[in-house]
Amino acid sequence: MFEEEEKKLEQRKKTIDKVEVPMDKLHFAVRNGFEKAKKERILKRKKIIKRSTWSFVVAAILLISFITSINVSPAFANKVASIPGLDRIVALIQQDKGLVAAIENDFYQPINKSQEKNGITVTLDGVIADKKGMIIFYSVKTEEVDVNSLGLKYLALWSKNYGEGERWEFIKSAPPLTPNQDSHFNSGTMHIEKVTHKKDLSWKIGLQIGEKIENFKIPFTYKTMDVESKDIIVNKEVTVYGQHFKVMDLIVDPIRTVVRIEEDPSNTKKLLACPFDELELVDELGRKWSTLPCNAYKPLEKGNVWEVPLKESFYFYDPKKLTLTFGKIAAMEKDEAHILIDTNAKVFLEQPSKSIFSNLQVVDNRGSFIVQVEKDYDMNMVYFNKFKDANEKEFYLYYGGRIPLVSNYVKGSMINISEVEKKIEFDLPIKSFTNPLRFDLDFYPSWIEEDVLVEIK
Amino acid sequence: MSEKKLVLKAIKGDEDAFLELIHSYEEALYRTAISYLKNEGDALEAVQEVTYRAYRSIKTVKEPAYFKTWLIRIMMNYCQDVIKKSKREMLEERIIGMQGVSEDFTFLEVEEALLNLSEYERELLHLKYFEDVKIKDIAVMWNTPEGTIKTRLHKALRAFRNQFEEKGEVKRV
Repeated sequence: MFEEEEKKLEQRKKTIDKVEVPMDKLHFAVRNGFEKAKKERILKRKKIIKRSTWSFVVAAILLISFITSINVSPAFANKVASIPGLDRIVALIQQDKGLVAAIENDFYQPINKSQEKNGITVTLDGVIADKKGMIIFYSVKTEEVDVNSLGLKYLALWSKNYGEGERWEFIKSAPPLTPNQDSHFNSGTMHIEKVTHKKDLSWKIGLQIGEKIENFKIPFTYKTMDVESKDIIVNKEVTVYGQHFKVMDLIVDPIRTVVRIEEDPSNTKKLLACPFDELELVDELGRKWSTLPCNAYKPLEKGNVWEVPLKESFYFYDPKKLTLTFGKIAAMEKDEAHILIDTNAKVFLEQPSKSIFSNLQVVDNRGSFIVQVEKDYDMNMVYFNKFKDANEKEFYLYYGGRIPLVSNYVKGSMINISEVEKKIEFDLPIKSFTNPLRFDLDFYPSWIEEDVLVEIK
Repeated sequence: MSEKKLVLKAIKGDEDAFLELIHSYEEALYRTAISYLKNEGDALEAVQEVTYRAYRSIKTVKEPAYFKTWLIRIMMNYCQDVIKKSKREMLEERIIGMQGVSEDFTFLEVEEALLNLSEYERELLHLKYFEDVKIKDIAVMWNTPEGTIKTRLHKALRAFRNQFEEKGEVKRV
């Protein structure tokens, strides 16, 4: 009676049965799901670290709840009054004197497109875009629930032509939109350092509402500001605590100023994650520009040049005098910047002289150790994303979320066991490996500091 | 150890028994996920999630003999949810992406037709023609007379057939 339909379905089964199964990834997925369930049972109270990545974060996301009534300059007040929708995000802009200047100079492009779903209205307010990057201003409004109870699951800039574009996912956690109580409104910005795909763009946001994730997608177009970046060449060498650096230049764009610093390869210290967080520029009027925390990165992983983005740009200002100070620089001795573990003997073969690592254990193909840090050190900084065996074979640690594309990964986990202690666990590779295992340190509570002043201009 | 014993142990909370069971069905779970989601990453994520859900609700297994089908049904529910949430266009893109796997030109049409069935109908067809579960067993599991299942299966097949016919009519216009 239904021979033809049955044939179609059987044919379909045959087709799908031909699909190759990635056995090791599959094993891993099962194991991972199992671990997740088990851990939930055992560690209900213990906080699981939510951080997913630390360095090389080339994006800053500012979440600022809406607070009105801040003093405004007449020029800025005029702009706010004349650009529709700008009043919603005025507080966001006022946090950043560089943005205020950009708006005063007519670089803000209002978009004001909204999407409404289940009582939540998301608005793409506008953008500021220069040749390098873009800042997207958005607002979330809801009368149904407290905005405070919504979490930000992801932000994305999506290009139809190329599939996914830039995207930030908060893998395990969805940070609350606003820490403020009883508000129905929230605004935020998304900074994109470099827009790679420019055709058919959509901006996307995922909001977590309880267990559910609501996805919003707003297509938009924009113009790039036609302005050249200013390059302030410095080329001054400086020594901080015996380590040599060269402040190369400042690249100033309307939405971002980047300080480029070269480290001398013969330095005895290795720069750690977030090395220049205390760097600061001061002009002749005492106006200060500080860095975006943990956003300094090396464009070339093996290179010596660091790019340090500043929180606000001074494209529209013209400081007569500028001086740069470093503050504390995160660095440690190169020879000491790793730990070496023998999983058979279950010992640390090498570790820093003032080590924060202890209690190495290897049980059932799982290694673990404890990391101890001072209370005021951000424990989430302590993070490994890979290790190497004696033959330089690399294994990536996978802490959950989307399954990585590389096949040489093992499962890792991090658990805060007290305010000052954290346990790092890692599976030993299923495939063969050769002891010892080397974990390079990219973080460490270690800094160098010396009062050094660099005259920029 | 027989499967039944393993299942009973797993229900009592034996982790090794649970893992052994899941590992023996992981490929079946994966193929089910692929048949719904058409994409390796999502299918792996589905297996991970289903393992998690299965472990959490292992105590709800009533009949050890149908453990595998119990798992497959958790998977089907999960996949249906994912499909509902994800944009349809995305899924269609993936189906097209999978066409390379098949030389059969009707593949896309079949997937399209399945997508338009009700969840119940799709589940029934999947159990019968993908997992090769007997009507008799489906009847026992769902606590429904065999005759009723047969009728519903026919209805599902008819709905499936209508998908093609509707399409044909549109073409004729």
